[in-house]
Amino acid sequence: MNKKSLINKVYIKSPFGKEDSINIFNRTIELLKESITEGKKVKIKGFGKFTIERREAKTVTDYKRKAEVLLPPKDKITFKPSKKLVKRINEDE
Amino acid sequence: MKKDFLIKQIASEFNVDEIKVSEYFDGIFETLAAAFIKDKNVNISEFGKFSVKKKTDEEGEQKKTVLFSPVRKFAEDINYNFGELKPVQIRLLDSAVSPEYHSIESGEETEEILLIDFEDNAFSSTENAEVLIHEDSGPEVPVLETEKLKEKILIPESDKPEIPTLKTEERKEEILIPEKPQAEIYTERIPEEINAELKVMSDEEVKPNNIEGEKARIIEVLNSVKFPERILEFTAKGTKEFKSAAKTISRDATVYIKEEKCENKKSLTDKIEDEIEQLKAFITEEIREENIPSEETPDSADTPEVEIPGEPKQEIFTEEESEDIITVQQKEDFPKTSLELEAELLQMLEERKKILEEISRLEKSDEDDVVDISGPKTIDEEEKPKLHDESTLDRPRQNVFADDEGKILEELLGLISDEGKTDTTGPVEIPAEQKGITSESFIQEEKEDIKHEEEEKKESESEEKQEDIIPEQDAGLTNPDNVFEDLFGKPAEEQIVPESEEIKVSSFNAEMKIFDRLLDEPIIPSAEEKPEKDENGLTSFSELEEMFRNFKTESDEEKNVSEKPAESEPPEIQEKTETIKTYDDITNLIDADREKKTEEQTVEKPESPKKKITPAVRMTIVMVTLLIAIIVFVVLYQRFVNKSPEQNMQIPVPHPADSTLTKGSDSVIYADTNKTAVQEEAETVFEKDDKVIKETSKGFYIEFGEYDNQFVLAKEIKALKDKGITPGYEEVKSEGRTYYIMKLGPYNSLKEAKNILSKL
Repeated sequence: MNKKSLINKVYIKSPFGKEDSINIFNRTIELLKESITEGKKVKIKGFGKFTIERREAKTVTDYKRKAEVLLPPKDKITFKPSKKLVKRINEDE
Repeated sequence: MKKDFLIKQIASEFNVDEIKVSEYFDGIFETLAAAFIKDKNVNISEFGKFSVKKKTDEEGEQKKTVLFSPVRKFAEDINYNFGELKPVQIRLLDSAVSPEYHSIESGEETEEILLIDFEDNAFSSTENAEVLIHEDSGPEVPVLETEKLKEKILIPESDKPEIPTLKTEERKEEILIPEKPQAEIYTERIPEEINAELKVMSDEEVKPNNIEGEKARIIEVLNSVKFPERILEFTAKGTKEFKSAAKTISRDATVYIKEEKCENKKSLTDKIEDEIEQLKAFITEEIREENIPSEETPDSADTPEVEIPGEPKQEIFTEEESEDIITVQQKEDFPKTSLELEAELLQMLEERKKILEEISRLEKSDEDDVVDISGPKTIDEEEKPKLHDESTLDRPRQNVFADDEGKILEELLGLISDEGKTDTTGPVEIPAEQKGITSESFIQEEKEDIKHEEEEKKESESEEKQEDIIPEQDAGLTNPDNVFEDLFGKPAEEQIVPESEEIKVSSFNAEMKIFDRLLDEPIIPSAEEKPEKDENGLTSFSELEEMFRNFKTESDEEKNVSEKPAESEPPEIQEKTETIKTYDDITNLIDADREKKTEEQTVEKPESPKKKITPAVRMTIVMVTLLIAIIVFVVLYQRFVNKSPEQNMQIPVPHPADSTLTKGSDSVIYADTNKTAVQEEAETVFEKDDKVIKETSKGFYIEFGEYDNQFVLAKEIKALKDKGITPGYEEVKSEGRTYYIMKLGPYNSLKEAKNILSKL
């Protein structure tokens, strides 16, 4: 599914006009991004949770180069789906 | 942050109710969830990608989960703390170390570790980079050292400095202080093979800092083109390919520079330019040595002079080549232009004159004046062909031909007049053959004449052998006149026709004079001349005639076409041989009949103004007839084809299939079908909240809602389909307004209808 098709599908059910629905959609995603980059936990009921996890520095063997390489630490985003959503996905099977 | 906070912020920004925003949010995440249930991946631009994948739990069961991978920019924004850090190579594996190195240091089995001083950032410089450590205490060493390296790398940039443990501090002392006897420490440079491998492995070092390496590559590129060898081959052919070769070199070099992204472009470009210039200088010297024909060498010699080092090279080459191509095409496409033929003819005339002069000097010492007159004029004639070559490029050919011809004729007239002072005597006698001359008839007559002449030649040759040199004098003196007649007599006679308006006035007046003089001069038979010229080694007149036939232009052909109707006239002129003495007489004769015709036309013309009025009248008549035809057509159409509504038979509209029966298809809209055509009478049985159940012969229907817009209706239909109900709709027209009513059914009983109504 694409962003455009998602907006269209949401718009059919929504009470807003098309322009408003597109603007609101884009604005929500901006807010989500801002809040995630600030380091806040974003929790959406019935959907999931966005968090940032830090991976510490570690050594890795690179077999192509035949050498050990030290990787620097990194901040990563992780999405953990809620239990409801996992249930709904696995129910249909 | 929670969902409520998001909703409040957006509601405040857009001035919308919070409830609506919450509905919208639910819509977003429900659609996402619905997509995940169908195992669809959702890709939201500028945010990330949700993907559904199977994973095994701790218990060992496979379950689907949703994974999220952000866009690169989003991930970089998140990782702003450690974005500048890059992975670092710590040590090589054992297999990479060469076996010789083991044998030199120790025969025993040991672990060899390459330590690198990171404080000096010494990957680039090899001298301080490597310190080799050989220790007996085994496997713990690498772990500790890696920890130490971490600190040294990460302390300046990471916000969290890890406090080093005591063990590592001790370890430092053990390694770095050479006084301790427990570890055998030594410093040595790494052999060159390993050094080379290290350079290849680290990405930063692959970029060449040295200019020499790039130089070598450029020289390879230049050598691959084989520039000098090619050009030695091309010198024989011309300048064109020389330039193309130079072009390829410059192109390759520029491409190379762009691809490699050299840091110091300027120095490289300068060097390449210098090399190319050197090569060109080398080539030009060789060209001079080989003595290439004079037409090609000046072009090749110009090229290095024109190229200024600051300017781009390719543009210069293209401009020069384009000029060359134009000139070459003109030469190739028109191998024998009129001007070239003129030049050839003039050369022939000059040669003849020279021969005449020699003859005259030998035999007639008294006629030195002739030599003096012809001397300077030959010089003038030599200069003129050059002028033609320059002027041809700018002017169209036909006009040039006309103008130049006039000049040439004037010059020749000068010769004739000077020579003719002695000869111009006696009455004018023009043979009948030349008077009624047209171009086609003239050619046919000439061909016949040539046959006669050839027969006469054999007789004359036999006579000449007997008469020795004496007849040559007369023939030699009369040559220029005959040459003029044979060469230029034809165009002069063709241009008699007054219809040809293309000829300019300047040439026209000149030719008038020439023709008048021609008529005044005596004509000597040509039979005696030809053999003499063959003896002098010159071309015969028959060849000159053939040359002259090629000399024709398109304008001549047009003239021939125009003259065809006048071919019937010459026999009349032949009868009046005595009267024709000037150009005006001929024109008067030719125009005599035409003037009569024109007079007849002029007589008829005054009658025409009566007809000129007719077109306006005709237009009106045509318009009126058209109007009448249209009116008749409309009346007939109304009577027969488009019958009045009373006469129209009422065609029963087919009843459309019930939309409720269709299943599976998403949006069913019967906009085209005319449902209102046939309506059964229905009775309302039950009402609740603007929702009505009606009874018909088929069954019970539920009706609700009024929608003006079809898109809103489609939205509602989709919402109902999600609940498991497939509705239809009915189009209603009343008081000029069309609206749609949702319709469900038919149901067999009222209970069924009520059950479904409760779900809505």
